[in-house]
Amino acid sequence: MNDDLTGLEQMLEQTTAPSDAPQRDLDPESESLREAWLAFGRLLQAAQPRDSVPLGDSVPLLRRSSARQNRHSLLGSRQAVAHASKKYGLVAAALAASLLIALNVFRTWNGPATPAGVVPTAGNVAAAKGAKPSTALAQTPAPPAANDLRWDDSFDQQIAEAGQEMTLAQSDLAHAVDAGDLLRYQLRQTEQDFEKSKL
Amino acid sequence: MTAADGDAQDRDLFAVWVHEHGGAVRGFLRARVQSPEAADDLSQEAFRRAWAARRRYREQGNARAYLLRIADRLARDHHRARKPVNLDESGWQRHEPFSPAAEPSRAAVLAEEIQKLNSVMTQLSPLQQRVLLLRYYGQLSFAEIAEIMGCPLNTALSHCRRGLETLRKLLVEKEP
Repeated sequence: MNDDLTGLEQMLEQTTAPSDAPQRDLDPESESLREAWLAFGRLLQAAQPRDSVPLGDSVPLLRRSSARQNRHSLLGSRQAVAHASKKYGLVAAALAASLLIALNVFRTWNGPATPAGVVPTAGNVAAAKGAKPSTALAQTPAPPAANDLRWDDSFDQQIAEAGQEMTLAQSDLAHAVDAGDLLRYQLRQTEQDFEKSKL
Repeated sequence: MTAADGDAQDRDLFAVWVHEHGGAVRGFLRARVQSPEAADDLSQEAFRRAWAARRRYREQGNARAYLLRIADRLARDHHRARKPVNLDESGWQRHEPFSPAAEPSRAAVLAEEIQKLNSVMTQLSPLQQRVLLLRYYGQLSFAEIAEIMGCPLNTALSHCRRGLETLRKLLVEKEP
């Protein structure tokens, strides 16, 4: 059985050897199969379009492959740039916020001070400036106290909540105080928020 | 060896693969999927996969067998995913990159040869196609072919013999 298998294998290896391989004597059956094999090879070669390159000369495929690799590489670069832009955008935003806070701290220390412990509501801010507050403004409640922030709160969340407080305060005081007073008030609120959160 | 040296060696390896085996892989796939467009796409995919898993090749050693194994798997997946399309003459011309109008005589001859090959391939079973094409393009031993096909050696030999007999009927006995 094994001999039969080995014999068949050897016969088929000779029959399907490349056309330029040295030929041994084949029996008539193998000879006719060999003829069919060579015809098959000629047909495969003939059916190759002209843009196809023969074996061992596949430069166009290399060029196509390189183009695809470049495309992937370019795509990767774009993704990397987008990722870096996002990352550095966040860093830049944090830096800008820090600078804004520092600038306002500086302006507060050098500007007119509000008595300690007095919350600058619309009424008392207007009174300090010698203006008569409107009824509606006098009834405006004091801005809500900042939420106590815990250690496990994220920095982004604290920034967002501080921003919300600023927006609320701005809507309350927009008609009564000028931009400097509002900014100082917001700065103090922010400082208090950060002190409470121990950042 | 530095990482840069390793990268350079890898690039050299890829260039050698494409230069020495690109035509074989492409021809194998063209005959298997009978669509030049799909064959070109699969060729690219075969080299991409081969590149991604090049460490495995270094363990095995035979580059052409490694590439044809991947190409064979891709062709099988292609046939499973889509019904085989037998294109008529106009279909082949539509898919070929050159312009038939520019070289009408060449286009006509090629279309005829492709049609003939297409007709022959459809007379072979998928397993016969695989054995014969792996043997022709890969010049692999039948033991290697059987291993790629995941079948015993005698099965691969049997498919080869039957395929050759079919080819003889189609290409030798019918010839004038």
